[in-house]
Amino acid sequence: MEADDTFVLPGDWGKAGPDLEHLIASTPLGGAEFHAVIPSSQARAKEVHAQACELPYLVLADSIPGAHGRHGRAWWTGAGILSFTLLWRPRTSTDNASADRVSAGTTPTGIVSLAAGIAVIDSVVAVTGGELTAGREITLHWPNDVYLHGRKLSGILLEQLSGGVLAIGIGLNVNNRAAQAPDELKSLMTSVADEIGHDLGREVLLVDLLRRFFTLAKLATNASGRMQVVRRANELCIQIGRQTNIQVGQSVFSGPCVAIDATGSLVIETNQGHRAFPSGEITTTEIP
Amino acid sequence: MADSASKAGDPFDLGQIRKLVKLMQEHDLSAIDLRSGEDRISLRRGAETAPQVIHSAPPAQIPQAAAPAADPTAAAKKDESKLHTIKAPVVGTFFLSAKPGEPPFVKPGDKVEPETTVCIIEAMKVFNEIPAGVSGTIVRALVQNEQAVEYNQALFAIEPA
Repeated sequence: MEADDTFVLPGDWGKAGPDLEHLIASTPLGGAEFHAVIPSSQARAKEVHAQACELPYLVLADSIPGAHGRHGRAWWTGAGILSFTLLWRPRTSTDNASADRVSAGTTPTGIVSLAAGIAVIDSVVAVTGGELTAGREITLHWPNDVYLHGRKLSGILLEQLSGGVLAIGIGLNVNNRAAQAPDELKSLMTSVADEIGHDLGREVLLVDLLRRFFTLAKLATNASGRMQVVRRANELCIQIGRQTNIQVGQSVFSGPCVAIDATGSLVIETNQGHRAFPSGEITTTEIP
Repeated sequence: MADSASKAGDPFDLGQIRKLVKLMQEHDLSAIDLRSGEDRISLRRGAETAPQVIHSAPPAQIPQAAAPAADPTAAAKKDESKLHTIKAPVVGTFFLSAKPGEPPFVKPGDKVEPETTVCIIEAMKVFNEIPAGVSGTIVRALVQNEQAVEYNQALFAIEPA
């Protein structure tokens, strides 16, 4: 079938982008903007934050050539990806002196980080009506990467800005195809369309994803709600029960992964006992 | 936290060593020598000798950068009491620059304002830009790039303006 520039997939958007008023009315968003191409949605979100905006605020883009992941690694955004940065200010203990804290020095933003990954998983499963996961395992790769049968489906990165505002960058492979990706990524990634064999309306998915994220984020404002988020993360986390290596600086710690704890840290049974890692690069995961 | 499950009484436990180094730093101690049965741990710091660990049991992994660098001059030492420290507001991994290969946010001799970003601490893929919090001149970093840091751990020594 020949490409038709005027055709717009139901539930998706054309070159002009989505109906932002409808998007704002359908979600807790306070404002939103769309870019066909933008060098970096994170950088643009920081500009918007500096100028003041009504939160939560969405910077949505069809193509982000300068997108990056952890430690500045390039993130490929092929046509059809769902990629955006959400500016949002979580409630913190400083908002309410009597609010419970997870523990001294542990920021609830770690739970927000988990919540973002969970929202992506629950959303793609719900919007595809289970079609995506029929016979396939969708998992959370701690803390919030999403994998489908071992291939990366989504990457998430959060930056804490001034005033307690978070810039939550999400890239979700929806209608971009692994076949279009650079050769070195072809065997490492997958997309929703690759798996189900047809394109999916990104606006429908975006609305559902945002709603789920804000529901989880609201839960995370109290201890019992946070535990619900953590329990869900434990259900989805691929590392749990598997031999896991985590690199922290120049040190690598190994052992069976036990759980994600109440702070969102990954707990590994090292040869020095159980140890919780709030941060680190997981270099290897083997199925015993 | 699961950390509490580690061997609290083990003198070669990394957490214990970090606490000792912090105590030395906070109270300007030049040496600590602890013995328990056959185990012994001796930490020293100061201008004459670099920080070292002496052990009678198999060595534990020592975080080299957890201890402050030796003072380069006696004059510098005299002013140590006037220095402030910028402390970690969160646990995580310490980064001196925004991306690998990029220049550090700050280096010794740089003048900073309270809102100047001095480093990033990452935890659970949340990258926190850490502001200096005070005006002054950076004297030195107290931890190495990509090192794990604890809550309230001293990150930089700074001479207040």
